[in-house]
Amino acid sequence: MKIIVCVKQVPDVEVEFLFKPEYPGIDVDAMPMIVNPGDEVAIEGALRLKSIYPETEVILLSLGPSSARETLEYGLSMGADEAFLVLDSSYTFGQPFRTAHILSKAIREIGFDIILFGYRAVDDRLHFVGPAVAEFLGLPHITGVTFIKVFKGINKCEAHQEVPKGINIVECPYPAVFTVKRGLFIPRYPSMADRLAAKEKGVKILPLENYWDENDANQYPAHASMRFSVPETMETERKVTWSTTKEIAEILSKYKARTLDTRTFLDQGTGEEL
Amino acid sequence: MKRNIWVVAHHQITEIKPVTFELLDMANRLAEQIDANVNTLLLGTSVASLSSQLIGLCDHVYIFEDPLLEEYHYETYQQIFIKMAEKYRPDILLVSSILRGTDCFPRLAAHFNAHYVAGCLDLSYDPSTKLLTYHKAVYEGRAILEGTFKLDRMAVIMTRPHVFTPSKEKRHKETKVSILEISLSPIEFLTRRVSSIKTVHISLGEALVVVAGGRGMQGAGGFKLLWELARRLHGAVGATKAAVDAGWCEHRFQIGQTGSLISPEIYIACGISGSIHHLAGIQGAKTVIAINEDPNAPIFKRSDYGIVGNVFEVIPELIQEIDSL
Ligand SMILES: Cc1cc2nc3c(=O)[nH]c(=O)nc-3n(C[C@H](O)[C@H](O)[C@H](O)COP(=O)(O)OP(=O)(O)OC[C@H]3O[C@@H](n4cnc5c(N)ncnc54)[C@H](O)[C@@H]3O)c2cc1C
Repeated sequence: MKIIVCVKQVPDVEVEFLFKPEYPGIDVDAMPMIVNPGDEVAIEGALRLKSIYPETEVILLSLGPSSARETLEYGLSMGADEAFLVLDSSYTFGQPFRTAHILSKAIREIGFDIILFGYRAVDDRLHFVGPAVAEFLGLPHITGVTFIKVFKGINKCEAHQEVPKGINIVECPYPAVFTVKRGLFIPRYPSMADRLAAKEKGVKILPLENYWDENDANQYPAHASMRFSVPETMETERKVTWSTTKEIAEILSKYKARTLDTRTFLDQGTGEEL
Repeated sequence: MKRNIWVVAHHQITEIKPVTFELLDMANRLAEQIDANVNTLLLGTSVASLSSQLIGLCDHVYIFEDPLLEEYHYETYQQIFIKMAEKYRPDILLVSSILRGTDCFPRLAAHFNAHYVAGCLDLSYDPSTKLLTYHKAVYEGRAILEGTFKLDRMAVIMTRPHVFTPSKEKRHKETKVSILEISLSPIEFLTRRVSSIKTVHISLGEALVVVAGGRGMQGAGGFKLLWELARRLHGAVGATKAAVDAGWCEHRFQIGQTGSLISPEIYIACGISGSIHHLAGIQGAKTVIAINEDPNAPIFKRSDYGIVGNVFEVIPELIQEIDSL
């Protein structure tokens, strides 16, 4: 079984945030970069499947500049078997169609049974590329899954899909695409020895021109401009009114009537704030 | 030629959900700038009677009823939206991210190579430049992106709930009601829901009141108190990373930079210090109430109302007060 995990290198906004108003909103060269945390969860998911089916190959795929090699090496050190980087020195934020196009073509070339994506990237928070790759490859998809089971003999997967009010257990045949959320999959920490061994394994470079022709851009939507700002409320303080529980209870009771109408909302879909 | 803005109505059994009125308000304001018709799409097993709640709020209500819609299935919705878009050619499709969002709409955008925006905070159109402008949170809420694009193809736009005003102002003298004229072909479903486990009644995203706990709640037992309070307010429970990491609450309830970004009417922070990582998730909250024993806790600088005290005394008292009202 071949599992492809698509991973992305993103700025580590937790460590520091070097804002700039121009595209892409941060000082990319000065920001520390990491594996997108959601993708690390997806890698963990793939490795769990490998622990059940040892003959499984876990293959990482990324699109990005040469620094993304480190991201892939990190994934290898977690235990992935192979890693491919579609090298794109001009890789930029905010071109999700281009990314989905390139990844789809590379995925088809590599071959696959299961394709995993992290739930969303810290930078654009879109949750687009996974479903788009499923569409481009004509595969079924299940989004926001926290657990995957594979029944090899009967060519079936079963996934736990997080929905706003609980969990749906959903099955589909594979090949299929999943976007993975942190739930049961807590990413493992590679040891120093693993990290050194990963460097040894190495990342294979795929040439961009095999997957993207500048004319391809014409079919896809494009931004006219992108500007960035720091959200206002992060800077503005609020004025606190010290209160008693009675006063608070009165404020809350005013909302009770309005909140009532959300109570019976029947929704089985995957609603998620992005 | 007039453009077409389509709003996907959200409804429960007998009622159009407030978030629909938010979307319609946005659509109507946009329609003035773009010169567009506003259409509402009502989908469900038996929804025709709900259209009366939309009279005056848009130009046209389209109804589509099918027994297949009894159960949510992205493959059904996918087919409906593809057929609808092919026939009616919407310029903008507006949908709230609390409903069936992340499953069906990105894939729909990919199908049509349409513009796709998720987590949209607002929209405006400039007739002179012919550009649509939107804002959304990026970099885990640390920055806001202002993006612009031409309406040269369909735009699928998913908005954050509770960020627009749910207005019911009747701006349209006449609202037509018709059946959406598409027919579903039999679908051979690839994905199939086998069973469900229901854990909460209200999701974090849709809740108007969110009661969140931090390290100050001291354990899963402390979180029981929060569920008690939330239940009385028909609200949802959230948590800080510290509480999630300690295992008192599941990760999907985490609020903040590495969790959900939420915009409830009321946010009640219990035993939460108010770290910048956590605050990044509640920027959209309209009213913030904090309960903390430390009067100097940073959360109070971001709160509208504050109670200094021990959560294990204050919350039971608050519950009692609410019950006695
Ligand atoms: C990479 C990274 C990502 C992060 N992402 C997130 C995120 O998404 N969400 C998030 O929340 N955090 C996030 N954090 C963590 C964040 O920095 C804080 O550590 C965390 O939010 C603190 O949680 P807390 O307020 O529950 O705990 P503390 O900061 O420990 O605060 C506990 C508060 O409870 C009060 N208290 C204690 N006992 C009582 C009592 N009995 N009654 C009343 N008050 C009491 C104390 O006075 C204190 O103010 C992230 C951190 C990093 C480094």
